[in-house]
Amino acid sequence: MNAFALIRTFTGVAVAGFILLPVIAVLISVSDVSPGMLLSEDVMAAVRLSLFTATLATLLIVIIGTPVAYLLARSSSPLRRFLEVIINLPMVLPPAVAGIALLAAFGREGILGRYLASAGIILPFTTAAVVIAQTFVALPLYVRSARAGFAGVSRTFEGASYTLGASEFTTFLRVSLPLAKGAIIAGVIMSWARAMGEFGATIMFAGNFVGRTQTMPLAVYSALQVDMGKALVLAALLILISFFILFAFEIVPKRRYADA
Amino acid sequence: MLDLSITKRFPGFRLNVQLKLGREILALLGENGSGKSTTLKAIAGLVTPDEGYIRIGNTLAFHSELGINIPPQKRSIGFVFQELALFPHLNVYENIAFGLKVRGYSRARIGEEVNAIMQALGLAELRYHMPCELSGGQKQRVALARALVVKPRLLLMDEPFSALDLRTRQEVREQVRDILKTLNIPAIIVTHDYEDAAILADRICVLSNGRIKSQKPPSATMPPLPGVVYSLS
Repeated sequence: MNAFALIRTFTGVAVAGFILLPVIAVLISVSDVSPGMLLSEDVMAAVRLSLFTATLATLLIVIIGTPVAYLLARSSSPLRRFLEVIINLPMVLPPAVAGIALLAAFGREGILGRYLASAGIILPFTTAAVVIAQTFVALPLYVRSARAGFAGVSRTFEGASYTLGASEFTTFLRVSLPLAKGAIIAGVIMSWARAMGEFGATIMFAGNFVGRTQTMPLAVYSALQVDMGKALVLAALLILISFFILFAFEIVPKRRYADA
Repeated sequence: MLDLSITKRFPGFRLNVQLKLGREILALLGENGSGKSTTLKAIAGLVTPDEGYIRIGNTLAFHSELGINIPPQKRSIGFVFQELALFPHLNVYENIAFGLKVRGYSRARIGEEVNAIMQALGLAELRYHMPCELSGGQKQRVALARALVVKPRLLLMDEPFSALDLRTRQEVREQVRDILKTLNIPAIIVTHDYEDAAILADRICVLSNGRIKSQKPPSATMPPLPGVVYSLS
């Protein structure tokens, strides 16, 4: 075995160990915790809230993100790159900054929030704020994936559809969307995972109230200060969910249609 | 049937084509980059010319000065793409039925018309096959069926045989000629192959550098050398 092969093997093992060790450590430690903890009221509340908000956020993301992704894939306007930068911004922004920014915009004293407040709509520190924070940070992941999917659909298919009499919208529904399906599903899974894991923007913008805004990552953080067992149970649950997501990601049809 | 005069500018290239078409099959012959495909796509409405007009039958499909530009959906033109562009997620039947379905026809009517054309083109056996499972010649026939089933006023074919091997090419070419003659549908076939043009067309237009150089019946255009692909050099 030459030196380079040795380095490759060693780093492979080291990296796998580095990632697996903490994960395994959680799973080992959690085996000491009484199983009743799993059913405790605030653990279940956090699980329910996380599943509900992340799923709702993902739904919102698909509804608003799909047309944007298509626009980005098809537009030749010089404004397209500008839009692309804006949409990717939440991905590079520190989540805590995203939270502050959402407060500055939608908070009671925020630029838009003060008008919403006078209309009786208070967003911060509500479940709606959790969904907004998750949507904000997870949107770019979906848009990037769906955009790549649409960009991979040859325009000739759309042209063929037009000459057969299909409107642009029908063509989008019957041709572009099904052909970009794999990338869209991948985007859904990634953005849902990101929403599930959201912490920084949520705690800033939505706060940390049990049953209302305390999602699983926030509950882990809170429990850590009072009850390590509870934190471990929640962490183990999140690990299981992550494994499930990775697994789902693997079984997404990777089928690529050859140009026919 | 068709009357057009269009100009389209590209960096370093200018397409300027005048063309009239009766109830006939016209071959548009030219090298790569001569502007054949662009001309075809302009007729179909997939490319917008900078100037000029396109009249299809009694309809003005495009007129730059009058600001008329009918979208491809409303031009009633059948288009067979060079890549054929069969929808890879739909089977043979669904591909052919696509144009009828978007017109909102009843399921029974769609079935009737699709079955009839599949029968006519020898595709009945392939009903549930996906495009990726078809041979080059079969794909070609599906693409033709899909374009014809909606009864277009005019059929455009862009290098329809370029993906076929020599033997299939001869076979499919003759099938296409017979079908077009039977249906008596006017057609423009873009090709760089003189033989294609000579066998299929009533008339040949040679396009070179964005302009029509000559318009003659097949026999007078160029003496076809057997087995030699015509080149414009």
